[in-house]
Amino acid sequence: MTPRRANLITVGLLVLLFAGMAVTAPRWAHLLRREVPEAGGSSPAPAAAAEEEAARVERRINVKLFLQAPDRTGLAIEERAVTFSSDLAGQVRAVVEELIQGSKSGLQPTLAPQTRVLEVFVSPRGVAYVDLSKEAQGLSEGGSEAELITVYSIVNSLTANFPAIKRVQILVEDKPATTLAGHIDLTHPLPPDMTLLAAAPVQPVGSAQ
Amino acid sequence: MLAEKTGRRELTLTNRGGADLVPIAQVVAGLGVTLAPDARGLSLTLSAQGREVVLYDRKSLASVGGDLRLLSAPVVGEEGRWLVPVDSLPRLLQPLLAQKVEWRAAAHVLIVGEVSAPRITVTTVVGRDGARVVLESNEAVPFRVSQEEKRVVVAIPRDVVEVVNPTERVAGGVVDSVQFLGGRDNVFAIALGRRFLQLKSSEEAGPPARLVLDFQAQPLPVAVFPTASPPPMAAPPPPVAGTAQRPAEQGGLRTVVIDPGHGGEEVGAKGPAGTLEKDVTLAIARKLRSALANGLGLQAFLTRDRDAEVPLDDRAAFANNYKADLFISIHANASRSHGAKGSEVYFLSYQANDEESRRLALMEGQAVQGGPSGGGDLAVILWDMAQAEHLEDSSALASRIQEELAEVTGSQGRGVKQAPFRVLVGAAMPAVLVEVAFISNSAEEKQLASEAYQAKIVSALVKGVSRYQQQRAGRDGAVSFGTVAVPGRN
Repeated sequence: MTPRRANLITVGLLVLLFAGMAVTAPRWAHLLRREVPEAGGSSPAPAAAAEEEAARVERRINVKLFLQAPDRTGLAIEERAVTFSSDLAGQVRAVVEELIQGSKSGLQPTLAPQTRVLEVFVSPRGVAYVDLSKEAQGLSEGGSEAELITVYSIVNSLTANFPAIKRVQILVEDKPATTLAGHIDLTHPLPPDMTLLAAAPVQPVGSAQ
Repeated sequence: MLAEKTGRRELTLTNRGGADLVPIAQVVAGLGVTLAPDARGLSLTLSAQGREVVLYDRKSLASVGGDLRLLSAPVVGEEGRWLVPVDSLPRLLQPLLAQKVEWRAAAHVLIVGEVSAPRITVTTVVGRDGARVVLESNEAVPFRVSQEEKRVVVAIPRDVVEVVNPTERVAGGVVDSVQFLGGRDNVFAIALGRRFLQLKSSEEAGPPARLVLDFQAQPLPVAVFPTASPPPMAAPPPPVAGTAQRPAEQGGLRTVVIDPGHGGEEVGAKGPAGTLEKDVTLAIARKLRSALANGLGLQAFLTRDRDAEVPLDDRAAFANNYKADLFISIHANASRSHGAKGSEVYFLSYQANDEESRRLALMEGQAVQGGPSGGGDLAVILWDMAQAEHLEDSSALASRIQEELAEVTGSQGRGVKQAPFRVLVGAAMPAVLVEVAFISNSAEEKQLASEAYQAKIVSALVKGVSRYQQQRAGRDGAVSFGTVAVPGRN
């Protein structure tokens, strides 16, 4: 074997190696970025879109959460980064779950922390159906103000963050509910009500980790 | 029973938790529908000519051509049978079969396709000397009239009839209501009022065939405020829309229904010292009842006069039953913000979108079904629109009350607001919800529990109602009893 021929083979092998790396990159690339949590339930993508999909895994988006203002009646906004999901229903679920977790910047909660999101559907007409566990009902405070704040913390958060969502209907335990605590009508999808924002706006606090 | 072009057959209804369910296979038999359960028995796919409906076990949701529809009760899948709420069949089968499908609750008939049925329209006219009720049918039909003690019954013995307006409330006290009860003979019941004297009836063969019933009135009593005992608190009446406007009488107000919020197990909000909203609202409502009677000479009734749970829709139905001129719901507020204080007066918020979509749903219903009948879907739509035509008056009443409340109690006015309060939805009269003060605020909780403060609030509410009455008297000055009111639904 001449040295020239050996060089050619080396070059050829290197080309093959790089090609192999390029083709299989999407499969192992995420191992290099271990610190980023993976988006739940992202389905395997075809090879052509695989690279794009891999990039998406680490994408996070800022959402506005409407929570109880700390020092006065009404809603205040807290911004937070959540993992991006290309599935709208999944993204809606993530936002409602963040609302249930409550504030990271001193705002007051609007839902009992034990509340679970049972199901989320988004209809093609822009209605988000959010099915919550029974803990969402029978608020301990029980008054109209508190109930308005709970209902519209969900409705305003979803319509403000997702332009495709025009109205929101809250269901409880797989069934349409009349009210959460005897006041606000949940039998139809509700449009947002921004008049419930607290009078003096609280500065939005970015709490992205 | 199921009626289709090729004939009729019986359906097996099963009652589960108050909902009438029917096996879907029995309903769609012979209609060219394929049923395919999934392997685990969690869902059932119905398909016909490329269209699909998916039912889910124990869910009150179904996918109709990819769009989600709410059902009136959960679907039950058991032992290979799939039971579906019968009143939800139209919204599932109409898109699937691309045919008119209609559930007539009163007659207990599911109609598939074009089945001819005489169409009955009820018209009522109220005059000074009596009331006229006309039943008109587009086809010749037999009318059987019989008079009982408190009502006149009209039967139309045909297989199926279609009733354009199944319930009409009538003002003036001669006839109280006309209601389609259904049954084998398609019975209408006309409830006689306290002013009824005698009945004359005449018939025209047509077409259109007409039955004209003239109810003569006793002479109008001189007293403005009747002392007759109130109508019994019957089962809540069916939802009413297109309610006849009560003729105005010197300011227009006669009857006020006061609704003490919450009650029974449902205690409402609880103050830091343990004061319960349901007790405060009942105490204020009782005081308001006597103050309205003594101060303004109004009849006032409470939706509950004891510590009992009353469903929200029954409260508005109660006011409709009494043909109240005003509905005032009394509440005490609670907020997670402990500093929150002051009074608020609410009237119902109607988003333009909502109303548009409901009107559209109503029109679609008429177009598709060839006219509404006693079906469940339609009743919901009309109930939901009962308050729509009174919003302007409700807003005026809310403003007058809020102005007086802010004045008398000295609490900082949080103002007049709008929100979708369920209790106001079905009220067919001006209706407001008063959040007197915040029971979640320690200082206001103490005040709410005190007799003196309750009296102050009541006096403010009475002044508010009185100013609203004056405002309305100015506006309606020219109208007096005897105005012909023709309840119409367009």
